[in-house]
Amino acid sequence: MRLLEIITRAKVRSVSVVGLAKNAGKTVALNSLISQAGQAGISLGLSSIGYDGEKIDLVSRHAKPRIEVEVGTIIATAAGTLGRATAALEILAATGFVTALGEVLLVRARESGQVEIAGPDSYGEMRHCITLMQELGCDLVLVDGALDRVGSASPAVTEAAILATGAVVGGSMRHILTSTLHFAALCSLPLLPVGARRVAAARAILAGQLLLSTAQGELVLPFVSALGHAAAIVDTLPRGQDFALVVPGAVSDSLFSEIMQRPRLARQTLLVSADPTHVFASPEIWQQFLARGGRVEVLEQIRLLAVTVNPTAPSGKVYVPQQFAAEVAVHLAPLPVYDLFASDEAVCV
Amino acid sequence: MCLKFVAKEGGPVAESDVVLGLPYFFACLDPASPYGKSQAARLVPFQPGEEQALKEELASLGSLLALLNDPASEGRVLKMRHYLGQVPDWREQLRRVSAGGVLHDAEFFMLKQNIFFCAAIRTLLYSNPELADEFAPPDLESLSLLLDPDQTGSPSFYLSDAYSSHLGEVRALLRERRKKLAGLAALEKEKAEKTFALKFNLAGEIAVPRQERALRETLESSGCFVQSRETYTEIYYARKATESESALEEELERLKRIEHEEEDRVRGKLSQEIKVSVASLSLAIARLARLDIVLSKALLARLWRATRPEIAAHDDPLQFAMDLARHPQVEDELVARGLVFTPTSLELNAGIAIITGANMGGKTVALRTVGLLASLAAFGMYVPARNCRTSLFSAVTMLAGEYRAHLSGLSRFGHEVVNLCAALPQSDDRALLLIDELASSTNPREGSALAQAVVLHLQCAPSITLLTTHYDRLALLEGVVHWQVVGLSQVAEEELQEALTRTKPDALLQLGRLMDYSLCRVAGDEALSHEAIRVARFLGLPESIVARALSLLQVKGEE
Repeated sequence: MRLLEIITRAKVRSVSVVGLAKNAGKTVALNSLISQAGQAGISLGLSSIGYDGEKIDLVSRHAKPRIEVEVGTIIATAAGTLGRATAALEILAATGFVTALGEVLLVRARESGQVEIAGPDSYGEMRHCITLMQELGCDLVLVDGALDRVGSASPAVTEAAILATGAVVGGSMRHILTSTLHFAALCSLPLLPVGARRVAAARAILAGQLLLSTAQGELVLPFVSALGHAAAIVDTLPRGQDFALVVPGAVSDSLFSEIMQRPRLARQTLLVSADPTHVFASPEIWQQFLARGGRVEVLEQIRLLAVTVNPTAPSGKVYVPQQFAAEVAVHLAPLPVYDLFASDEAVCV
Repeated sequence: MCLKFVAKEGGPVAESDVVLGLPYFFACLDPASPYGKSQAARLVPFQPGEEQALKEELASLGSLLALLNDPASEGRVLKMRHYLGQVPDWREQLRRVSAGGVLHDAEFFMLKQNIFFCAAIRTLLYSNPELADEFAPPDLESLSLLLDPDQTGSPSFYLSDAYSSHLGEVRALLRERRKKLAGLAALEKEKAEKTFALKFNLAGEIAVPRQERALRETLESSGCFVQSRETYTEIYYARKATESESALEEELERLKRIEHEEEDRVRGKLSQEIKVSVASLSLAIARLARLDIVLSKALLARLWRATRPEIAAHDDPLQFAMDLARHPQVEDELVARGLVFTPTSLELNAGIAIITGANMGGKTVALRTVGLLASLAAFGMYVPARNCRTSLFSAVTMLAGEYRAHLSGLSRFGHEVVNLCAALPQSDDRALLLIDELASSTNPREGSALAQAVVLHLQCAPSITLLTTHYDRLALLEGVVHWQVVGLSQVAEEELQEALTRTKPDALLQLGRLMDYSLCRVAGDEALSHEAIRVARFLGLPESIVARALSLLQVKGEE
């Protein structure tokens, strides 16, 4: 089954393509999807997300990468990128979102050609751009995620995600597999069950409050975020009883480490986060936390549809393509894995 | 002059204006369009002699306010405001195009939006022709047609083939050649796959394991492939373009270049044609800015329940009168704390008037209200009062001793004197001078003498001066009009006592409930009521201290 078919069968209307590292093959995945969508007659919307300096080459002030678009494709991109497009573009609307390259505009390709894409800077703005593109008739909106950032995969932004991984991610096959499997595992973190605790957690996350929930009731902790306050937060946690700690924003390695430094605390702990993109635990710390009985639940999961692999790293490190893809596919099964450099069909396990 | 709220965009704000609450007015004004916002920052008050112009400005505001208050037309006016909020700023582009610059596509699109909203606002305004004459932007139909050559009516912008038949031809050729090249490439690829029994990957490459020497040699000697890259295990080959493919690719490059050149030529031509309409575009922007400002004033007037001030003629004697006036900033702060603002009434004529009375009795707020209303009227704004009649002043200045004194490097007294020197009106000034607690920050003997001297000096000026003071003697000076805060004077001792014992924790709230903030005019020889001790007691000063203060006061009185 081709990658596009996975998306159409999942009946999602927005997908982000995120990479575990630079050169993991995000653009190849994106270009492949665009060409498949063109053949299938799907009207496509495109955008990219990132922060200043990440998606823009600061020396040349060019947005990267350049993407080939078909007639009719709608693109959300900053005004400053239009002059360098080889495709003839019709400006449809202005979004009011301003970036380093000017205001983000919605444009339609009237003639095929290449475009540079530099979309809005924030996830909220991206969500809005996706809605606008859907209103303009896009069946599917593809979002090019920022380098090393998986935030656009957040269910608050796109409905589903495709992950690009490859030789560049780690020094050894074991390392690459660990990072990739770790991401896939986080995507399907268990959901916080429906109930009073979930309602309270959703409210706290919306309000940006750190909430401690125990059998006795709920208590808002006086911290703006968990970053930089891990030790102080862990000091306030109750001992000898189960509790849930709702963390708005990032759940960092230091919070996990602090919890594990207190004897028997991990097994009483349930950490609650908005979605997996906010959980920033390294695979090692994560494994330790689980082994000690700690749990993490989320309000929303990431719907990971497929993984693409790039057996080549720019450093010169290269794996035998078929073996590399097969190795990743075995570990991720039943999740479909693609080596789009070799074929647009999924790797057989 | 002090009344100028901001000398230029982003310039300093006069201390007096801050005390009066003018920045609050400008923050609440909140125009919707970029044009209105710039104009608001450059707004200056009407000057003495411009009474007629001010009256016309107030009448314009009045007609928009009437439309707002009429349910039949309210929606129309709010729609105008919505459109004003959507207009993108095109002033920089206007400057560039006037100087012969060439615009790019996003700028044509922004112009199209401007034209679109101008037309929409024009249509709404023409339901009231008398307003249209004053506010409507000019008809920009010709520009609208220029930017929509296909007459789609869509707000989008595209360098359409209709701008140049040459552009259309080149694009058609490009499409045709692209298709031909794609077809040719697919054919050649299929042929190569068949001939060599191999399969290309998505990047158009064939990966051959290094050990398959025979195959590599076949590919290399065929003349159809070039080596594109290699890894430790594989060598990648890409198909060499055939001669006809190369020729097509070159032609595509050439056509693309011609397309770009032609697009640039069309942009230049369009910019030239827009340059012809620069005058009407400037007028449109000016009209939108004015509509935005007056509409923002009308909306604020409705929010503040403000009324039209009556402007005294230039040759009438200098005067100011307000009836049941409110200070919106103070009122909003009180409402936020669940309290109510007590409106104030006051009448002033050329000369000196003083306000005395209880501490916490609202003397300063009364002073600020007078200054704010006089200023708002001069800015062509309705005023938050039941009635207000005012002359146009050459300056409205309020001196508040303690305000920002710590920033000037002077003591409170020093700061006050420096500000007073700067604000003393000249002999021909039609100024409104408001002084809070004149000379109260030095010793009472000298302070009182200084205050009397200043009052005597100001009596000779043609302006209006209003002071708040605790110096009894000022009230006795010849020609000084004396207003007093009613304060706690009407509250019976028992009621005060009961409130005190009952409600210690929210003393401020209780004080506010008992305090009568209204002003009453008193004859010169009526004694001032001393309520400082009562107020201090209310705010929690220990009873022993209060009792001693009362007995000391009695001794002094007997002396």
